[in-house]
Amino acid sequence: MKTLTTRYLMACAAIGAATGVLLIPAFFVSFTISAAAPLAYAAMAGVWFLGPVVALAVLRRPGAAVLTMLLAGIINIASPAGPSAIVTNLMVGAALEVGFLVTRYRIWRPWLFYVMGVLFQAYYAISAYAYFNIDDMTVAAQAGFFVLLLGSTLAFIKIGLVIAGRLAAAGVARGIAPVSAAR
Amino acid sequence: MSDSILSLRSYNPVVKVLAPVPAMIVAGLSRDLWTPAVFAVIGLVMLLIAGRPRARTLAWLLAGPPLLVALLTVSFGVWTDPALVDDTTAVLELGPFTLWSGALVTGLATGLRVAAVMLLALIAGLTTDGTDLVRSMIAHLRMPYRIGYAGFAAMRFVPRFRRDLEIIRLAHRVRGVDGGRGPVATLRRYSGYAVPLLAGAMRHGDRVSLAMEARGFGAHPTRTERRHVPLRARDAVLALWLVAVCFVPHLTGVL
Amino acid sequence: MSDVLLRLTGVSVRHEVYGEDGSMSHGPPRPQEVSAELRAGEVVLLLGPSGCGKSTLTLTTNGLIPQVVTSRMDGTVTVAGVDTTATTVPGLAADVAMVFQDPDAQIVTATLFDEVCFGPENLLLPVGEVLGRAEEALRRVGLWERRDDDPEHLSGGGRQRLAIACALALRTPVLVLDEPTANLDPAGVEEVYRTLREIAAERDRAVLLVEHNLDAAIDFVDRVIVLDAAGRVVLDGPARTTLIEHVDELVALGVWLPVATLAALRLRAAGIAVEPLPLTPRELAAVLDEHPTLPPPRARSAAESTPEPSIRVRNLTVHHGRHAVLHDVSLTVRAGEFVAVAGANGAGKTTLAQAIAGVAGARRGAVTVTGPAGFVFQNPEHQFLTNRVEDELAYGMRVLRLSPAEIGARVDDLLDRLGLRELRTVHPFLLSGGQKRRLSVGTALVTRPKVLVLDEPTFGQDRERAAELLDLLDALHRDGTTVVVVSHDMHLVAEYATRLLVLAEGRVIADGPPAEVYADAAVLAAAGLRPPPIAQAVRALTHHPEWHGLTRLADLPACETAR
Ligand SMILES: Nc1ncnc2c1ncn2[C@@H]1O[C@H](COP(=O)(O)OP(=O)(O)OP(=O)(O)O)[C@@H](O)[C@H]1O
Ligand SMILES: Nc1ncnc2c1ncn2[C@@H]1O[C@H](COP(=O)(O)OP(=O)(O)OP(=O)(O)O)[C@@H](O)[C@H]1O
Ligand SMILES: [Mg+2]
Ligand SMILES: [Mg+2]
Repeated sequence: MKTLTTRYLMACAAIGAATGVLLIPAFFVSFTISAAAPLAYAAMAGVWFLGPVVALAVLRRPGAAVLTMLLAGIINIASPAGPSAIVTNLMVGAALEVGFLVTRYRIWRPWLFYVMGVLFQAYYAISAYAYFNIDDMTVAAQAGFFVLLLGSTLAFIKIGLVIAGRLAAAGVARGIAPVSAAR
Repeated sequence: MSDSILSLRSYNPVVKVLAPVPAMIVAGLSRDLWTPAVFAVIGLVMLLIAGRPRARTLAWLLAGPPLLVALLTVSFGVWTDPALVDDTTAVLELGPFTLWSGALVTGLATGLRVAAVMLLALIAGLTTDGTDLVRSMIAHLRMPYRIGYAGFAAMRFVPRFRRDLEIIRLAHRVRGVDGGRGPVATLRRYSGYAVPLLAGAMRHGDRVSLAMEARGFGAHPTRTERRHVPLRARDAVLALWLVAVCFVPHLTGVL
Repeated sequence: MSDVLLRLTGVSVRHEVYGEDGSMSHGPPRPQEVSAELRAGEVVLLLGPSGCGKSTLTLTTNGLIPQVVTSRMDGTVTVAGVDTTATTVPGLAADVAMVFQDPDAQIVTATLFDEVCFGPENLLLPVGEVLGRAEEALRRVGLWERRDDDPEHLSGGGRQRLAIACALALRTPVLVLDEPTANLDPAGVEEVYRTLREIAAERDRAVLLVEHNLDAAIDFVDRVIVLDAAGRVVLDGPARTTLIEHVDELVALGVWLPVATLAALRLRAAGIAVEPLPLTPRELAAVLDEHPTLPPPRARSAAESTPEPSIRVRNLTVHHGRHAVLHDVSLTVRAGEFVAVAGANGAGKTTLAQAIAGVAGARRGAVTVTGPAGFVFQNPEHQFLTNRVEDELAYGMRVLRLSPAEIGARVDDLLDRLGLRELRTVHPFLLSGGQKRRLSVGTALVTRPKVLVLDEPTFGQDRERAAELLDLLDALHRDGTTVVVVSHDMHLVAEYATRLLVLAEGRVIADGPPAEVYADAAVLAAAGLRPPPIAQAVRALTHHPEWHGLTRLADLPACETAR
């Protein structure tokens, strides 16, 4: 608890609130889109990674992704997903965080972000299989679903890392992120 | 907060969030038509009777799920692999494309599942105030109050960031930013907004944190809470009811 | 002595500075070797040029430095006998309360009442005590009736009074305020100072106040401490005598003096004896009235605007949702005018300015502007697009596809004019507040607009930086650019603008030279504005009616033309 300084909490709250603002339309769009065209839904599923990637890459402290997504979830209560948004968001945040936890927060290289993103989406695709009846789709549609899901995940993680880099250059995390971390 | 036992608003937020989860899982993993349909109807009826939705929400509640189901039914008619369903009746033939009734059934089931999960989520979504949920999470889920207050702060940040985003959009337009149309250009434009939005957000958060600490935030492991979100017998009843409905699919086997 | 509540001994603070490669070192000490004592019942004003470390010093009083802001602090700070590094910041909340500059950044909860309870609740006080303190504090600042409102719905002044109430509810022996009125409109400033005056009158605590706006504060502070640019204490003594006796030193340091004092210095330079040196408009009037005769005020150089219109607004109505924000506004601005737009919060100033610059809101045909218009937003950070100062300036020209040679030349020229040459490769977000503002003006200037519209360019800036910026605008205006400025700062408006537009509830209720508008008490009251200090002083003159129309320092007789 000692590492959970108010300053760090508020930084997470700020990223979380901004993520929440961004995800409210995403939740709305995904609800309409997932109904009409699951493929298009796969193309935007990566957007959920933006917030936790930015939080972890900028703050570089344990729990940043989970906290940020918990707070974003609290804000997303106002979306069609209701409080289950908290669960959705927390899952994404935790999935990303696990990779850094098992490497004991020593590795901050981009590949770890990508690996965790891909692993989570693989898991997600399997659970979405049943939910969206994907196994009944044409092979082309199934392949498209996976390619889009993977592509959007990698793309949004990349965007998140770019944004984090620019934020670090703008000096916003000074005093919160550990100084020793090589950027 | 209305205190009537007939209003979902009077129930404990954490219970409203957690109790529907088993039903959501059962509905989400079902493969038939009957299970999700029952859950959707249960969710809808609960919302209509005890959710007290306002006129606009009511209209969405009544029109939304059928629209969603219709949309999914049709779209699955298109997406489903014909090889799996070509033993069913052909409903429509358009050149090389055939719409099979089996595909429509799959679509209908998917639509019902999505609608059921959504309606069950809305039981809490439409009747819960964010601050009460956080208070209840602190009191009943033992979430540290410091994280809870970060949640309150995040909620207060939202209108401010919405305004900021609006201004940043205008400001970038004035500067002549125009990446063109299409999803890629839009995405690029938005990531341009993200940096000033987040930088401003984090600076604001930093200032808020100084003000909070200066006012004693975190001085003690607990703090005086003047407001309590009650956890009452009615919440137990609600939880039992929502768990009990999970056995509905098994009933159909009996019937 | 036992009643010393706050004691600073040899306090120096070095902030962390980062090199381009991300390496961290410690900057020069600001403030430096500060020793001072505050006793119960004292109100102490901390003065000093911008960047000398006043805000930094306030942060040391409750341990935020070095405990939360990890800068290096030497020396010791004790509050009621307790060393600030010996306990946590929240642990000191019962001893030191703080009010910060930005009222929005101090609000945590959803109602006024919860907000005031927040501090006492953190201190684990019993519920009864929390409620009692909250009620007392809200009544003290006059917000009890609004206790169930959302703080968002208060005016800026109201929110800052709420922040003061939150500080009062902690019932601390020491109260520290860092420029509590810097972001407020004139009515808000007055509200806050009325409250502060009452609190100071109770003499039950020590108050440390940092404030640029001396005109508002001077009548209730007991003592001033003045820091020089290097952050050392140069003066520490009773307020009036220190300011009056060391006025030349203060001017040399670049510390802002009350406008009445500046006026008196100007008159002295023009050979008019002004003894004793006045600190308030009323005192200035009293001194001047003792003179049997005064030289005539300087004739104003006629506004050099050409007859051709530059901005024409016809029947402009703007709605936000169902609510009309501007009602049927019509006006013509001639090329080369310097127009100020004033009015209370929410009067529609921003909306009008954005419509004029074509940013948003106007229906086609309602606004015509000859030539390109530039717009500068209130918060410069919202506008920045790139990672380097020079790229930021070049951006607008790259959009216009100018040649690289042309771009390079214009960027160099502007960097010099804005005083940003050394900072050309720095990230725009890392500039100081004043530098950011100048850069954002630069980004609008680089495309050579004929019309420049600025929304609250002095917001959150100290006076020195504000004056610097307005001098830049004045130079542009003299070169023929039409300048439109939205501002709350009556003094600056009076000094620079050739024309003043007053908005109230979406309508233009006055339009004319500032001197004429300020003469109309009904208009000022309706718009929640106050006349500038000079106008207040000359209006109180009983013997010299020919001076009654003055509003600017520049109108006073003088031997040189410096403002
Ligand atoms: N967190 C920080 N990190 C690095 N440098 C800082 C920080 N805060 C302030 N500084 C620098 O320390 C010096 C003193 O700043 P401070 O804000 O205390 O000045 P000030 O006297 O309050 O000025 P102003 O009148 O403009 O408010 C300035 O040079 C400033 O740039
Ligand atoms: N995008 C918007 N949506 C809804 N209402 C708005 C919007 N922008 C402004 N308003 C409302 O319009 C009114 C005028 O706003 P405007 O920003 O022009 O005022 P202002 O005079 O600039 O105030 P301030 O001094 O606070 O900056 C206000 O009541 C404001 O709440
Ligand atoms: Mg300061
Ligand atoms: Mg405005």
